[in-house]
Amino acid sequence: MVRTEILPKIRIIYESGEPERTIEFEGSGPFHHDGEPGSILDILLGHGVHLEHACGGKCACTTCHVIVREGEENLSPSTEKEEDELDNAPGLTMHSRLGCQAIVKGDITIVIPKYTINQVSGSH
Amino acid sequence: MSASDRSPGGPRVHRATVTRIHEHLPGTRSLFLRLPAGERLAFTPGQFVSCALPVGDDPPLVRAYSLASSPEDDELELCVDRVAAGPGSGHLFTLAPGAEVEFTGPFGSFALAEPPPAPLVFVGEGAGVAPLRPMVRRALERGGSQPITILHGARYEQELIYRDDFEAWAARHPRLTWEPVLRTTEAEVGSIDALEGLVLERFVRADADRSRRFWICAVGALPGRLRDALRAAGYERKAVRVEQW
Repeated sequence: MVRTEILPKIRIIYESGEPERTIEFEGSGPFHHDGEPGSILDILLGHGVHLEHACGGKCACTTCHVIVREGEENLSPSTEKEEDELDNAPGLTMHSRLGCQAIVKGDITIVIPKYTINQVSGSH
Repeated sequence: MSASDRSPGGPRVHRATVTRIHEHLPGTRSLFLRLPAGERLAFTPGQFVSCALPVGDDPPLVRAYSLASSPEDDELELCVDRVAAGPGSGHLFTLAPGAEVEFTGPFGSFALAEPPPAPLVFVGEGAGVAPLRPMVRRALERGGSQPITILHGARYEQELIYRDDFEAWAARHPRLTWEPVLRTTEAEVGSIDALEGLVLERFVRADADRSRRFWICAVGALPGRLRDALRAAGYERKAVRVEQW
């Protein structure tokens, strides 16, 4: 049977120079059940693509920071909670999102920054 | 995939040994961890570590646990609330002294490195006071004259974990007020509860002072509701920090 349905695609570009990947995903998953259901994190992990998520996808760190290069309109709008957390992301851009919060609704291209760790520098 | 190779070039994996376990109450316990000799974790009070646990459908399961200890302490204290049907906390509750825990971190911006010269208000419910504890300790140790308030919400008295510490600190430091706030009825769950009502009454309606700084941590929707209400009432965005579990 010829499949006529066109599945949404996530193209993943690595700032580190790792080879890029593209995944197609269906509304039915597979999901990993981390982050918001249907979020970038949820879908990537569900397809075996690693994305850091130190807080377990609870919007409490910025390790899943991604930069959206194309298809921003195909993501859920960011919330105050996400914006608060993103403020702390190293290398923040106008097109930054947290993978655990941005729910995917269509084709997107994202860049995984090289440095994704957020650590508050101590005074000692 | 093991925890140690889950992220080539990613955060460094620490391996610590459980030295003892303190049960605050059924369902809430602290694991005290010791790193290998000569190794210390530099962190800011309030931060958490990220544990890679060998459980779940597709291990490792990554879960965050707050550090209830201070950076100056010899051991790390992870305060763990047992989540019903939660494989992460369920696993940690099976660990005994001698067990090894792998984690990365510290992470998170819900933290206090240096206390600002403004009234400090810490609001925690249940085990949500765990990350507040080292922040309060840091604020007290750094000196200063600003008032420090801890509003400690709980369902019942036994749930007021770290009560002895807070009472002892308040006795030594007159500028610290520790105030337990108990739910009066279960019917209040999901509505404006005692803790939320008190914060709004005292810090929004009672005066026009908007210089206070807040750190709020609890399970569920309370932190987000308080953040929105306090900001809407005129507190600066950065003055209200929340962590939702």
